[in-house]
Amino acid sequence: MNEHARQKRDLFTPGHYGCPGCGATLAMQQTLSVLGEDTIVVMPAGCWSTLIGIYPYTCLTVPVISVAFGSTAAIAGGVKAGLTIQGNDHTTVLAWAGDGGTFDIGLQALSGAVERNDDILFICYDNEAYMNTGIQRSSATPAGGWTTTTPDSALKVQKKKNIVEIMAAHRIPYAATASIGAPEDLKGKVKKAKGVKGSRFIHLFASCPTGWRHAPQLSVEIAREAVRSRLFPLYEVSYGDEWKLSPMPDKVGVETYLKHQGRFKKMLASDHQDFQKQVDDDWLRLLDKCRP
Amino acid sequence: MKKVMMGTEAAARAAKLARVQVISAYPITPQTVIVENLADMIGRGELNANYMPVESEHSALASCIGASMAGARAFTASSSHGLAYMHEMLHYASGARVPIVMVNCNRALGPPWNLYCDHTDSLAQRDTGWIQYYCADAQDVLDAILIAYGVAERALLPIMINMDAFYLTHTSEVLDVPDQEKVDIFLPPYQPSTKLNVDDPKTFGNVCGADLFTSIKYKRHCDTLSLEKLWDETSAEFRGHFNRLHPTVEAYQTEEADVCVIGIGTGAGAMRLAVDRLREEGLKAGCVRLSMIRPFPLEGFKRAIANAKHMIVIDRDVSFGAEGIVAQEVKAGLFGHHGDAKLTGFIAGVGGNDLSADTIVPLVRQAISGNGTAVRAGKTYWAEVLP
Amino acid sequence: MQPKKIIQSLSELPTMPSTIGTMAWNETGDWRYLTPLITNKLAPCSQNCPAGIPIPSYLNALRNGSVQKGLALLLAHNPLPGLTGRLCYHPCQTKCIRKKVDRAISVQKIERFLADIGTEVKIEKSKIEDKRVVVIGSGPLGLSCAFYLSFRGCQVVILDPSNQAGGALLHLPPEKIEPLALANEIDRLILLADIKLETGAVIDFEAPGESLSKADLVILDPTGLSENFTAPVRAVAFDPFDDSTVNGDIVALTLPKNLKPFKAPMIAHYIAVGRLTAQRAFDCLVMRSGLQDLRQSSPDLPRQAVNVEDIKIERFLASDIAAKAEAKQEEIWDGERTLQEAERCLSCGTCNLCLQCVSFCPDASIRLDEDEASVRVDLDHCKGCGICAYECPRGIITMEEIST
Repeated sequence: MNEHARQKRDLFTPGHYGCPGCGATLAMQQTLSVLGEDTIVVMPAGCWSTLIGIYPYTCLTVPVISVAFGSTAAIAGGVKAGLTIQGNDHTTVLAWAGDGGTFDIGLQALSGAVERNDDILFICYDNEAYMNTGIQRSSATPAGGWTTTTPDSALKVQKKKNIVEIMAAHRIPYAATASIGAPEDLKGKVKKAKGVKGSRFIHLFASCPTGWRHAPQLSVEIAREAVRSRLFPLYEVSYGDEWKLSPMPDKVGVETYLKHQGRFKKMLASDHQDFQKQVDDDWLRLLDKCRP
Repeated sequence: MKKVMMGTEAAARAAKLARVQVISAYPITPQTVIVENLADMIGRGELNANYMPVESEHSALASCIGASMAGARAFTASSSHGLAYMHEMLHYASGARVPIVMVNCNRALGPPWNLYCDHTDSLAQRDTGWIQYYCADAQDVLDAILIAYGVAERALLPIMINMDAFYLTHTSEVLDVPDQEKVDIFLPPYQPSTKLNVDDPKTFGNVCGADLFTSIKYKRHCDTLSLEKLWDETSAEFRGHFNRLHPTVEAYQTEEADVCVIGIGTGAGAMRLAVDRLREEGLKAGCVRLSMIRPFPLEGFKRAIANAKHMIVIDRDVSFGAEGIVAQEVKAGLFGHHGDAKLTGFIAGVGGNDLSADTIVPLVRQAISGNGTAVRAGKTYWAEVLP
Repeated sequence: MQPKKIIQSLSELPTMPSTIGTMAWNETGDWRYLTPLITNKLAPCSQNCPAGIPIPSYLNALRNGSVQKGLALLLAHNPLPGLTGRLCYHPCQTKCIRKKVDRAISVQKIERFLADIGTEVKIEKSKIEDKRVVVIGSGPLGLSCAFYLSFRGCQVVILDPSNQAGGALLHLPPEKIEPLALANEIDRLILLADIKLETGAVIDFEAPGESLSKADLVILDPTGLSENFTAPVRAVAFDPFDDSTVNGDIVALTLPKNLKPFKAPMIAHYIAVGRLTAQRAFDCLVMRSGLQDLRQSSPDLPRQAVNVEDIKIERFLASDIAAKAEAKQEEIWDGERTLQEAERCLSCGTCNLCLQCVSFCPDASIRLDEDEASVRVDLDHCKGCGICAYECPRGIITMEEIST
């Protein structure tokens, strides 16, 4: 019997405002299915804080606080400090932010919190743009990706920021990448992170049919393709030192991943090659780090 | 117990007596002594609290909000640019109805940089929904923090306790430090009925529609208005334990005054000396110190000014393009009540310029006669300006 | 759609902006223009099975530890699994999708194991109706026909002139089927279907015995009677593949060329023909008696076949369940080995409650039913994104335009 299925029903109710096929909601469900009831969620402005429901109703049945955009890690740290001073060491404080609230406006507070090794689990559900406000670019948007602020006339030049490397530089006890396309891997990592004290960070790939212009039924498949093409490889870093690859299917080219998404439609064939080269180079760099 | 302390040391001592549980702060002159003292108290085991040395003021208040939402008593302190940096979170804290007490050391905002007394930093935040209290002396700082927790936790609104840079933060005074046992009776532990609680899960602060938004703000406004009375009640309780009164408005010799000098903070001490001198010179002058700016203590203020017809407001702040903020507040308070009163506003005592009887008396004279050295700009007269 | 609890006055407004209920009142099902349809479809193995056995269904029962349930499912479609488990040419294995991963499932071995483990099974039978049928001959076709008629509610008697039941099966060498196993198979069928079997019977249509005289219908089993047996003149030929109705009182079944003479590997075909004949015979009896058959759907109605493209082979490529070595013909499997093999079944077209659909629904709108035997779409909330249909690895869910 799949316990996950039963639990998921209890902590997450239908009726929310997420787009059909939303990857971020899958991410939350999979995460909560492992973390369970003894969890407090701190979420900033972003897709989740809007889709969660309209006041005074909510689609989550764990305590949630909807916070200002750049403050997630600080508030999460404060919640944890408030809990521990009252003698509660067991409740997981889950900071749940999108790429905007992690990579950009939330980066300072995040850096501060993990530098202090605040005992929080920070999960970034990454849909690679400021989706909630209408698909504007973030530093998590890949190079060549269309967004409203990197339109066809001015596609994004900068590469995606590597947030896990930044976390690793802080030498936190546990950092990892995960994907909604690899749920068992994700759940294993959430479970592992739950058992670690100190700052834990998971960079979680969450497809977005609305922003990436792909068919909603492909949300999970595209997340798989991202892993397969090594555009979003799965790995873990402990204390910034020990880099370990997670099991992944054999590597394939990026073509399938790119062709499923309208946001890459205007990428020229020559740019595809550059794109592939970047993915390959980054993959080799990662392999190098993972070498024992 | 009598002790010699600076205002910042008094603030730290008050936080300890209040048994705050989470402290999250970022150092900024002249608040630094507060956080240094608290870190040491915690380190030496004198205070059982979690200290979060955060990386910015925005995060400092954010962490306090998180801690308070989790059910802990939270405390922070800042000043000037630090307070400005946490502006967004000030709105958040009051909207979230968390009873945080924050000490703000009133210091000038740059550029140009200046570390000295100026009230613009906190007054510019008067619309954030925080209760604002301005201390007269170091005893006031210590006592007001304790009263503030009592009030905040009853009203579920955050309170800013303001003290003047250097005049209070770094000046030592003889204080009466209350006993911990007595404080524990006055101020029991924080026991919120609603908090982040896995046994009673709720979502806090999600998007709200037109149907309820106005009502939520209205309720908050009413609760804020009622705080004048709540402060009076709680400080009466405090007086019962500790024999000291901290009113929302303090009047000096206003019973038959024609002229009323009005201000906030330590400057009121100089105003009282000025009043004494003016009375010796035959002018029926009085002085009103507003402790509370938010909510504006209308009832207390009306009683304090009695029948004075000429208000002379000395602002250690300004709202550029308008006038002194305290002057604006006083005008708003007088409107419809004392319609025929005259008000002369001065900007004085900022950026390290002292207020004293010597500086205030001429301003009063200028307000009455129209002659003096303060320069007129719009509705205000500015002292200490280059010719 | 309205929430259950609505804040209507200031006094009800919480001081802190905290919620009072869930979003379940919001019927996001209104957003949908395509609706997921969950229907089990015939797996390629079942499509190819002459008896139409729902192979993944009984394999799933085995995996869940319900051996008796698996056996019951098998018996409901094939009352002689011990025969097919030894003799059949297993076209199911030829079409097995698992071949694309590693090696086809050895369905026949599993079937034989199940058949041999016993008779302690109960199968639901319809109410006994007042129809009497006599089947003459106890070959596989006759036995099958008798079995299915009995389960339709008829009182069935099998008369066999030989001293032993089995018909053409009796001529098979023991290496193909042990006499004891054959006897056990027939015994179980008789017991389950509650049929009266008379061997050494005297068949005289001019002077019929008790059973024959009371019969509403008599069916002659070509796999159970020797060539010497002469059908009476008034017997009406019935080709189950060509004729849609049964005429006359005595039915002489005629078999197509590929099934004559009796070929052991075609055993499943004979069983299927027996079932088809039972269906036609029963319909005929109902029509004659003027009774309306209240059962709307016959279990014999063909189900939609699963679309092989909808079976996501790549999801299974990383499967942990490795194929064991190729099974040798003479191997006889035990329970453990059987279970290992059953676990390899991909359950094409048949929901095995893997719950991938449930775990991938962004709206918690496809859920395991309370009975924990099926998944169900929450039509009030399902937004029709189609992830469940795409993610189902066995092609069970399709997105349809359904006006609800």
